[in-house]
Amino acid sequence: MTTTSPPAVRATDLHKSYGKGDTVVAALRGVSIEVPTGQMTAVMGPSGSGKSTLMHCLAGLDTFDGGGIDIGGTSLRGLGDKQLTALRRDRLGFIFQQYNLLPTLTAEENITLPLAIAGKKPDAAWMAQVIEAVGLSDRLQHRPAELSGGQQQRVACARALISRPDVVFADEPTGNLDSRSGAEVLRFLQHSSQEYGQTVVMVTHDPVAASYAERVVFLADGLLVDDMTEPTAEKVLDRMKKLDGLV
Amino acid sequence: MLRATLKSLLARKLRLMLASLAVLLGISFMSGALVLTDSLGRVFDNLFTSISSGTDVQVQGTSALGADAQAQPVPQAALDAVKKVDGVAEVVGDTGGEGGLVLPNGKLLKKTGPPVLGVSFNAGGLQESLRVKQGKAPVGLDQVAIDLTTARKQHLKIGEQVGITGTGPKRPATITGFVGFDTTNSIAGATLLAFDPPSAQQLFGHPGEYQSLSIAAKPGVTPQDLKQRINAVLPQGTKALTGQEAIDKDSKDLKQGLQFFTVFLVAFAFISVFVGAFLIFNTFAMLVAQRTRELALLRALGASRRQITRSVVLEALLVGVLSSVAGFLAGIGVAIGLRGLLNVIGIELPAGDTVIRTRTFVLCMLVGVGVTVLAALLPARRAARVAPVQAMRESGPAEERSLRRRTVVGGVIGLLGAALLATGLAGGSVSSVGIGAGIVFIGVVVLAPVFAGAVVRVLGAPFAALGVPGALGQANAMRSPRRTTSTAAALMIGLALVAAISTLGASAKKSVTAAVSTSLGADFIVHTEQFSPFSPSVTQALLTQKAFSDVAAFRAGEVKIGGQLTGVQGVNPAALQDVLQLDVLSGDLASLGTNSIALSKKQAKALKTKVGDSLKVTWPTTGEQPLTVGAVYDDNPFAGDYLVSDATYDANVRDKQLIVVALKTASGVSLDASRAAVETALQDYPNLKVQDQAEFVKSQASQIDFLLSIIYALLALSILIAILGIINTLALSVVERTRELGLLRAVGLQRRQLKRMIRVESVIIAVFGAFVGVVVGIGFGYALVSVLHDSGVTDFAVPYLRILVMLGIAALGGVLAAALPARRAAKMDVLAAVSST
Ligand SMILES: Nc1ncnc2c1ncn2[C@@H]1O[C@H](COP(=O)(O)OP(=O)(O)OP(=O)(O)O)[C@@H](O)[C@H]1O
Ligand SMILES: [Mg+2]
Repeated sequence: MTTTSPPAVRATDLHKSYGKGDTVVAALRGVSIEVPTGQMTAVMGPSGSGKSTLMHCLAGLDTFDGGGIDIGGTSLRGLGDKQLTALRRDRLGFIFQQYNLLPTLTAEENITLPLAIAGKKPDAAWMAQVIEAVGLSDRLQHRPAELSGGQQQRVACARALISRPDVVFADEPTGNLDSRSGAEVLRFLQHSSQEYGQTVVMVTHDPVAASYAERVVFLADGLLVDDMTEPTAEKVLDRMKKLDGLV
Repeated sequence: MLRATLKSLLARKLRLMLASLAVLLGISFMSGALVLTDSLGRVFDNLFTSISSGTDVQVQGTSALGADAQAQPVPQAALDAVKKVDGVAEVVGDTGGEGGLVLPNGKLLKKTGPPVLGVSFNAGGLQESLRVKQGKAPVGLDQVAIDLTTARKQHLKIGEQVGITGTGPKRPATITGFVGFDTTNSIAGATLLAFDPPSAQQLFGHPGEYQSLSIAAKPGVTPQDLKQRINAVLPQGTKALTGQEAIDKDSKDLKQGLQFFTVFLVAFAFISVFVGAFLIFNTFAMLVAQRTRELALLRALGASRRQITRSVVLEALLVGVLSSVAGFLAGIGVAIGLRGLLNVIGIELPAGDTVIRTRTFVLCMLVGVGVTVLAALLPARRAARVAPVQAMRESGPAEERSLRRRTVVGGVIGLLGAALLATGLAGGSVSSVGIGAGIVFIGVVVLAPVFAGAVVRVLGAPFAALGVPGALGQANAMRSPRRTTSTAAALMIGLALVAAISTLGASAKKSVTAAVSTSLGADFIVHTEQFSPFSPSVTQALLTQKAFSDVAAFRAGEVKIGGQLTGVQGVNPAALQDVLQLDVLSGDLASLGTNSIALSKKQAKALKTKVGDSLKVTWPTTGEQPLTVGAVYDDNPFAGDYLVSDATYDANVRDKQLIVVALKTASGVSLDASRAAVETALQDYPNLKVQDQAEFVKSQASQIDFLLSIIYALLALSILIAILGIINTLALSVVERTRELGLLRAVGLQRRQLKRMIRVESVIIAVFGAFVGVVVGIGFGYALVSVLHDSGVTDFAVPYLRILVMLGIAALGGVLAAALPARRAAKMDVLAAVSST
């Protein structure tokens, strides 16, 4: 990971507010952040600090009011729904907290869904590697209803990686899982960053989850307030306590 | 609980709207049909009353064959006798028939629908309801008065020369005036040609005869009294009725016809309502499924099962009441609109009130509310079974229950129906076939979810091959076989009926073609548009042409044989052989003399008679006559069941008029030459049509098509409702799958791909319904054709092209049905969808 390669994600002076008039809420008040290619970054902060908003803006799921966003060299400013959709399809991966899979498709079909939508064939070797890594080789023909929550989330991870996206965005991917299943998912994300150079941006509440990341950024009240490398659960927890105290 | 129900109703008003619309449409059809026919009934009552307003007593002919048979004409002798009766102020004889009007430009007035009627007109006599509105009354054969509506439409002027036809050749006549009734200028769009009574008698082939006599009493004589006095002097074969009795009789006959019309329309309204029931069932089932958590919460908070059921049923009741009332009111509008439409297309009806009877309202409410509540009962029971713990669970898509019970139940119902259908077919009973077919259909609907998966997989394969949206759409359509089927069932019903009717129609057409090619030998047949009687002078005119080897005239009358009222044809046996491909099985047609009869194989078998036996035949005026069976021929639709020679016919029937003349071209004469000869001979008979075999088949086929198109139009509403049902299911599915759709958009499905996905699901549901409906419908068509074999539907044909068109229309309906739900899904905010709980 050389510092000369362009960042996978860059946000500059990002502003975003909800509502208008008296009820306006400034969710992001000038956030600038760069995520280098291959890095796994965790976004932390108290509830309501703007984590989800930031992630949604970065991922082209929501519009923003001011500033700019670059994904692998493409500015999101001024892109229409069609281009944003294509960008998400071809260059981004998603893992949500819950309801990540289509109930009508098998695990395998769910994994290859973004490629199928784009009308592309999965790269067999890569596919095998990803499936191997999430440990689902024997579950591919099952439907989501026949999988445990952890297995479902691992299917979602595999899907996020299958198109070799520039960035994988994960919003509380372990929020609904027990600690063991959560750990499996997190190890997989960490592994994909370290082994395949996959850039990952993960929003989380959990200091333990954050400790799997290479770097943790802290948001408070719509502003980036801290940036920590080589996090451990204790360090993160400490920082969070201070933040909570501040607010 | 009522307030909670009302609130939840309001909250979901949009989702319930389509269900309400279905009830509304069905009920407005029903209310419209009832209001229209009631109003028409009143209109005709008024008309009859006003037509016979000055008539105290009426004399009508009777028939020796009984009350069901056609009345015989009243002879001049009866009129002469009545004239002498004390208390009679005036007697008028009425007569008439189908006529023709040749316009000043030399063309025959051509009309589709309402006929041209010739009537006798008594100027200044008995207080007539038909009166001269402009000009003068006609006197003599060369004067005619025409109804004001036709006069205006054709820009006719008083004093203008026109041609008129009765049963004989065309005659020139001068228009002396225009006539009309008090409330209308023509009856139901018919063109009226009015003549003085002797001219009418002559023109319509009844010299010295009347259809009826109208009699006015002298002051102080009651109609009842006068009727008795007249009956005392009337010759045999006639009877007197008071004016009121005559009105009641006419109006009863008409009401029976109208009643049939009402039942026919209401049957189609019922089909629409029934189809709507599926829509209501689906709506409530889906709303209950979506509200599982809400209902569970209510249960957890202490609501009893009873209360839950009641709240759902109450909701249905409110929907039912509101939409039935709206449907009833809309129906009144429909009835008024239809009457306006009839007027516009030339079926002019006298003005009259719109009759809204209490029974119309009661029936609409009963059916509308009843069907809605019944359809919601099952979902309501399901709602009550929601366990309180489900409030705590993650509400994933409901697990599909096993279909085993359904397979058994559907199979048993289907087999029972099939058994009934089979016995009906064996016994030739139309009603068992009909009921059996209905039960089979219910069995198919119950079973449909079992085979829906497989059928949808096949039907959807082409879409799935086209890409992810298609594959997802197919998967969604297979997702809940029950929902897919109950949505598609509505379309199944409509298309099963359409397919059955078209199959019957195609078979009937094929049968006509076959009958003509195997039973008719004539090159040309001559008849009027309505197959009404025409003068025997036509035969003479044709015979002068020398282009034909056979000119066979057919006369048709009624007789009673073996206690059955039946038709008999009077013919010249010698001319018959070549114009009909008649297979004489025993005896000899040529030997048919003055006291013999020929009959079909079918009748010979039924009556257990053979050649040489004596057969008792009752004639309308001459009564019972023994005739010898001279020949038995193979069944032939053109020969009918009984044939007698002209001599026998003349001996028993006064009427000399013909129904059909069949012609065989002489050898050595080309068909073109022979046709030219017919046309020359018939120059003076503009109201007669000449058809060769192909033209005859075509005109019969077009009549069948006309009937079919009326039925299609009536079934269109149920198909429209079925499409509303698809819209409804899709719209509710879109709501139900909000997060799924959000996920798809997040991972990169474009808006138009999302729309395509929903469209594919819709088309698959529609085509599935249409396909099953069509298959079942063709089966029913086959059953109908088998049971109608004896009524002349001898051949079975499947209208493949028409059926393909139907499937195409269903697919198109699917595309249209998807439009709104797809737009709604595409407009959905991705973020809101992904994060909604
Ligand atoms: N759709 C919305 N409309 C109005 N305000 C919103 C909306 N979404 C978020 N907000 C507000 O924006 C601010 C940031 O919200 P955001 O969801 O980004 O916080 P978060 O850091 O993800 O919180 P949590 O940890 O609870 O998920 C909050 O004050 C929230 O109330
Ligand atoms: Mg959040």
